[in-house]
Amino acid sequence: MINALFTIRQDPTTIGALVQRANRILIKFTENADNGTTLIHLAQKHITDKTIGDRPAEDQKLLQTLESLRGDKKISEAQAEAFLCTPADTLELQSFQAVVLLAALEHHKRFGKPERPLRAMMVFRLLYEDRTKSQKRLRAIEVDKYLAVAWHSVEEIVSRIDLIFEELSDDSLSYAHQRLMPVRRILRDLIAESLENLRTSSSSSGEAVIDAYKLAAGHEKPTGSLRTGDTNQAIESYGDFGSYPDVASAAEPDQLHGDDVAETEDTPAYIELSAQPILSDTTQDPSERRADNQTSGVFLATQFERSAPASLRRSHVLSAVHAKTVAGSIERREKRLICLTNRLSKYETEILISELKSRMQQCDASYMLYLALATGRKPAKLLQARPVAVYRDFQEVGSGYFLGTQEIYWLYRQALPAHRLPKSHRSLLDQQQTPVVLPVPCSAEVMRRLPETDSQELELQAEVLLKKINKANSTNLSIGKIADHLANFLHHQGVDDVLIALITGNPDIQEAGLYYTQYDSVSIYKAYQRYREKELRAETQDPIESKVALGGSQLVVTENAVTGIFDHLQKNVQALQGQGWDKVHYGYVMYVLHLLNFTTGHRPVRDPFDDIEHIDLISKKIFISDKESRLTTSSARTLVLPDIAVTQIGLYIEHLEKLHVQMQSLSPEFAQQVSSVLNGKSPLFFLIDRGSAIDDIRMAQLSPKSVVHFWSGVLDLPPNWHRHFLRTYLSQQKMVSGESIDTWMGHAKPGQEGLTRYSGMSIKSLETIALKIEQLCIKLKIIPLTSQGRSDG
Amino acid sequence: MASYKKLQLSHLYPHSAIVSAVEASLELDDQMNLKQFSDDMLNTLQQLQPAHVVQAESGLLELKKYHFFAGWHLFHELRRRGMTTIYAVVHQAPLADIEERAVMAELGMSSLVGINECYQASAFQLLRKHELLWPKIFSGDRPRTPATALESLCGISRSAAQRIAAPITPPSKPSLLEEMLSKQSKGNS
Repeated sequence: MINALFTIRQDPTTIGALVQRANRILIKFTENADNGTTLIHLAQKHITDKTIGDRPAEDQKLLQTLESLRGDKKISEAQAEAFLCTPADTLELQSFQAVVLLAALEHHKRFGKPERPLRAMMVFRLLYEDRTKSQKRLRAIEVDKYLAVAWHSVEEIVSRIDLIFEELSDDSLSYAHQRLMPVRRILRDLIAESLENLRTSSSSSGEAVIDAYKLAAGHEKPTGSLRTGDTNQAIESYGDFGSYPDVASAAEPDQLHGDDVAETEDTPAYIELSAQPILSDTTQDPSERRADNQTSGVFLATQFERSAPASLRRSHVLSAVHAKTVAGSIERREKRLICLTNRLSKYETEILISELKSRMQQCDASYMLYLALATGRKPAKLLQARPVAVYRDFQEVGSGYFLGTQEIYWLYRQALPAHRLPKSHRSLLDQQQTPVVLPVPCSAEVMRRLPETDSQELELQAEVLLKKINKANSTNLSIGKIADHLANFLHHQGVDDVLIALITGNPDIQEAGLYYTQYDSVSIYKAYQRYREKELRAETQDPIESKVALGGSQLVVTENAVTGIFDHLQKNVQALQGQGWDKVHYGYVMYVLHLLNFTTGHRPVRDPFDDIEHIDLISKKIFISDKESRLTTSSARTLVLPDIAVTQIGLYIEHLEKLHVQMQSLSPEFAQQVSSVLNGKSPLFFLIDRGSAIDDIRMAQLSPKSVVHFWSGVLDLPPNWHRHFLRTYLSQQKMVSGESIDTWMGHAKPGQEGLTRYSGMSIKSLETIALKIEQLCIKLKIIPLTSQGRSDG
Repeated sequence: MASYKKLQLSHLYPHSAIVSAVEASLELDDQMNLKQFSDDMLNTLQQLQPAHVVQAESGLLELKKYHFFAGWHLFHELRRRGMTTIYAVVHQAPLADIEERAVMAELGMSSLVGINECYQASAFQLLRKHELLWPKIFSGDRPRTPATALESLCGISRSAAQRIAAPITPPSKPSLLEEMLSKQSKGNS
């Protein structure tokens, strides 16, 4: 069943269409009498419905599915679905698609492991798509020439692929290896009736490691850079899943995702891989959790240029130097330095605007380039926007626009978790969904709806136009430079990365921050106002502050609710007095945990705040490493503690010391464990688990599930609600920069980490944040509490 | 036969008969104000009110363990001050009436510090649970109810004893959060 290879959830209609497409491919294959009888017989066994004819409506549906997978960046997760949505248009490709499908189904049926079949399906799709790419078109066609209309046996297909490898050379051979090796591998497995070349590099548990990892190459990531463009080679050349044995052996059972990074001029080649934890606790929205943990496991796999001598490629030392260079260029890219050559200069901006304005009325390409400059989006992305008659009509996520009198209103709404909570919780949350609105200046004569042309065609036209402008004015304009200009400008103005991501509609700029921020329309407008005035030379009215509207995160609790939550926690500690020391400890741990979470923005993880050694109560600092996958140093940060947190930790330590003394009378073994907490050898927070025997007292791990259990029946908020509240609160504060918020939240991207070698941030910024949170706690009546439920002092 | 000995504090474990009393004491926050005494005073007090222990069964190679069943109230404070030894009356095991002795020692302690309401409450519970022990505790006119027993034991007034016997706990006030949630629920319905 093809369904077994589907990896993401789809609606029944789409699944039906996909299954029918699979059947159609196989039926066509069986109808071709030139194919070998064994293959035909095999194909017939995999057909689930023989009554299917051509259905144009379903084809249309599949094309839409492919587009939506591409738009949602889920194509790398749904290789089987994308494969079936790919319409093979020549007889050779149709036959090859059938062979790949047949081999994938049979492979999965025999070995039950989907990784290799999915990879084969992926390369078929890429082979098909390469024919539309200028750089790879010729190589794809070269491979096409060797494909047959009919195939007699599996061995024949393998030998044909081998023939391709023999006859092609240099770049073409390398390309053919990338695109055909995964297909050859599953065919070889079928012939050998076993999985060949399994990676078992590190230990006998190698197979388990392979099972735990899934590698998928995505091709949608818009940012980043690559010189050669053939990054798949690196993945292919390492084989299946053991490509990065060090990572694999050290990691938790995560998923590895590879992303080809698109080309620009000034950075060397690399592939970005990210380790994503398989969620064990479903106490949070999974997409939000993933985004929040995204930088924890980012690895870069560099590759040498093909022209580099073999000795150079083999040298580990030189590889390390090369990797360092790549890392440096990524850092530079993230910093958006003014001196980089792929930034628009002032001269180029002026030339561009004047050239575009003179042509805009007649030329669609010119009109689109102006919109690219004004909205920070590439033409292909602009064309995805839906025209709406009035502002109220825009209710969906994505982009839209409507035409005003002197302005085009560009609308954008980010896809975020809805956080649907019980009705009784409505008063606790401030859920609003106002879209981002950019008033793009445009004269009435020029203003019109976006052309309904093919995006590739339009980009070609735009490139031709830019060539002309470059030649006439000695500039070096490109579509990428134009579309990046708005983001670069805002970054240099010190605008929060989350606002830049919202304004340019590019969540990659600060994806994790987007999940946590509730933006206001006035801040967005003010940031864009500067760009309009300085770069687009358009007069702009000041925003009306009283008409502020909110959008973004749907999990921002109100200040009253925060007060209520802490009041409940405090009353709980008081109510538990006299009900047993273990219950008191439970209630007290919950209070302290919530207070520290609220003052440090710690993620809800198992064993939060590590141990007592991570806290310095004298200099009021805390070291936090709170990501599920603690593989890299980027997941850790040092923060300044507000006074209230320092006092609370002091009181909690007093509680532990008292518990340690008292427990020696009841259970010396448990007292020893409490002692190890006080010595920094065990996690700071623990719960108590009591057995049937009198002195059977054990420590239990504190996890997000325990917090959810604590609140069950009272409050149904995900345990990271405080991070939504704090990110939003801090972004509204003066004197608190976006950079310091990202550092504080643990959201800083590689190259943008605060307090590092090239960072201009000082500890003062974190002290300011600590002070703001201290003031907030006072305002919300959050106080340090003793284990007896009394306020300190 | 019993002997008066100096024992290591770390060798003492609670006897099952007094575990609940020890557990209850964990929640009390130095009700006897022991922190105010000097080390010497505390040592003297401990010598005068030694712990009562029985030796626990243990293997040949194991350290000697003792189960304490009375005179343990100073232990928390002694441990807090880092003192490692105490004086104890080591009874020869097995003692048939060890639970009775434990309860009577607890009540004796309560009669000494009877002005403290926390001890009065625990003494009331013990008296109620062990009515059969009253003849061994009280001479002359025996009390008829646990409240009158408490009155005699701690020397408090009848009304105070009755207040402890039937405490009036004010209904707990809902938290602000609960108020907000219930208000919203009412609004929805």
